[in-house]
Amino acid sequence: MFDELTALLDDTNRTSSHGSILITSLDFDSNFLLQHFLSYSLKNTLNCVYISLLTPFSHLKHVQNKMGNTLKTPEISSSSLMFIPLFSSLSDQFFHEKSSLNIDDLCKMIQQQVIASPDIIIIEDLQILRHLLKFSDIQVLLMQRKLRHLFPNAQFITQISISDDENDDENFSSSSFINMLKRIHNKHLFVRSLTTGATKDISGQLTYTGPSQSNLWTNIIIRKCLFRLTDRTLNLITSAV
Amino acid sequence: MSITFKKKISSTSNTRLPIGTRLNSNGTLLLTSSGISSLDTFVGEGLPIGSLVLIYEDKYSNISDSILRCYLSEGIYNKHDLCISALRNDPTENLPTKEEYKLLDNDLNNENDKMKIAWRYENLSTINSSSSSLSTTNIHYDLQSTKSISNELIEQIKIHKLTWNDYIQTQTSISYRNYLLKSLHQLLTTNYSSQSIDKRILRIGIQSLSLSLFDHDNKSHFDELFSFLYYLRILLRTSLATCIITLNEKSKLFETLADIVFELKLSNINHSDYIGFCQLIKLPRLNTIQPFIPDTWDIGIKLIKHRKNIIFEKYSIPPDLSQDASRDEKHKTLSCSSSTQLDF
Repeated sequence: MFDELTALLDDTNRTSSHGSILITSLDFDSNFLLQHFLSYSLKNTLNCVYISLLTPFSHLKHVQNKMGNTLKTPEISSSSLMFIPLFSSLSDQFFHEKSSLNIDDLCKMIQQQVIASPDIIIIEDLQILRHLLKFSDIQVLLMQRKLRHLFPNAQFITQISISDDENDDENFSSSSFINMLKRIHNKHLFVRSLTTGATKDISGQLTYTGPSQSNLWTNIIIRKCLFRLTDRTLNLITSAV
Repeated sequence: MSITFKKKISSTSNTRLPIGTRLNSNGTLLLTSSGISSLDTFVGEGLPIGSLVLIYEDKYSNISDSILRCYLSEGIYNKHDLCISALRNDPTENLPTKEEYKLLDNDLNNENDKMKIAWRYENLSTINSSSSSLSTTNIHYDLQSTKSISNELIEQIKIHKLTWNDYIQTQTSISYRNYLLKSLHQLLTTNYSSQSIDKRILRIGIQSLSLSLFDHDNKSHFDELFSFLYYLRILLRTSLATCIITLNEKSKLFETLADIVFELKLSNINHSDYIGFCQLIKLPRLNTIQPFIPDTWDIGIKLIKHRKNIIFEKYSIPPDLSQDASRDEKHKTLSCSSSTQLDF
């Protein structure tokens, strides 16, 4: 896991909290953030459910190996990781011309494959549900709520890549769908690429939005920084601006 | 003194690799050439097996079609099977033939002799940092070749063509893209699965996938393309295949599904050496978090050797010497002859 990111997020070790994290990205693959949370849960022997809509287990295995975690098989019974390859079910449904899946089917499928009560649930790119299964924004939000109802004690890490229809202002925040997702998550990590392209020294930009730690009231803090990413490290570089 | 450790890749492992493939420097990915060695250097030594490449076409699709033809020719010379879907023209007609140029020492010295600006460095040895240091053999494909690839080579491979006429004749109710996808599914799962004993590689080339003609429903054009790319990517991950798709429209969501994405543009600069430019948008992150970072994301495309071979190189603007007044002829001499006035 990336220590500097853990320090930035500050309280990811409080698994009993209902703090959920929304990860959005523009022109940059934010999968490394999911790998960080997965690595964190493996190192701390937390029960983690990884709901994959795109990433095969072999990729997870190689990446986690470089981060110091050994993943042997994707079978659910092994280790504290429950890997749910939802992409296989979707692919199977398409190529064998089965009936299309709705939200209840997906939630039921996930529930059946979760054995131990999860501490962390990682959900890959929700845009896939919107454009592949043609779920409306309301349906995606409803699915989020259903999963929270099924697993009330879990911390949700949700990823969504910003599409062209959300890309209509500089802050990429005017989309009502993204705003609704932010409402049901406590913290928000936004990743984007550099306009001039990544270099060996700087990979992209990261913006963290989260609640402050005051006991009297809750403020929102925003931290913007550049970052340098390697297979094993993430260095946060505070912007001079 | 610094000590660097480099992982030693077992020499025996190469003997079990499929023909025309090699491992990357980390030993974690199986790579194959795109057919253009200069392009390979910009995308991380080659195309990973199981990857999906998207090319945003240039204005008249000339450069994208040339890349596709070189990619298919490379497959034939490496005994890889081909699968093509094209509507505008058949890329397999008159495929370019291979030419190999070995850079001899004389050529390197001649290049050094030509240094007019950096003349202080002409006696230093050149360091070939862009291409592989293992060989000085550059492989190019003759795009204007009148000769065809020998039948002996073509007979050793299978060429699958998925054409519009085949689709019409099946009289199916599904869209052309879904027909294409299901045909690829059948092909990849039966003959080119990563679990199969016979490790043959399949090169898939799909030309202009985003044509509106292929839409089943005008309203769902974007979603159809998205689902096509999604299911194809899942198929490719469990197959011994690579796929290049050319598109004439851009979308960030397509880029999330592809492994390599780049955009081609024609050159609009008159008398320029470059026929076009290539903007790298995304590079593969298979089995790694951080992808290969090239020296530059902006690449110039040239035709060399009498416009027969296509190469990709770092785009550089030549210095403009025409308007510099201090470099006129009478002050070029370096002799110590006395002159009454010194002009700086």
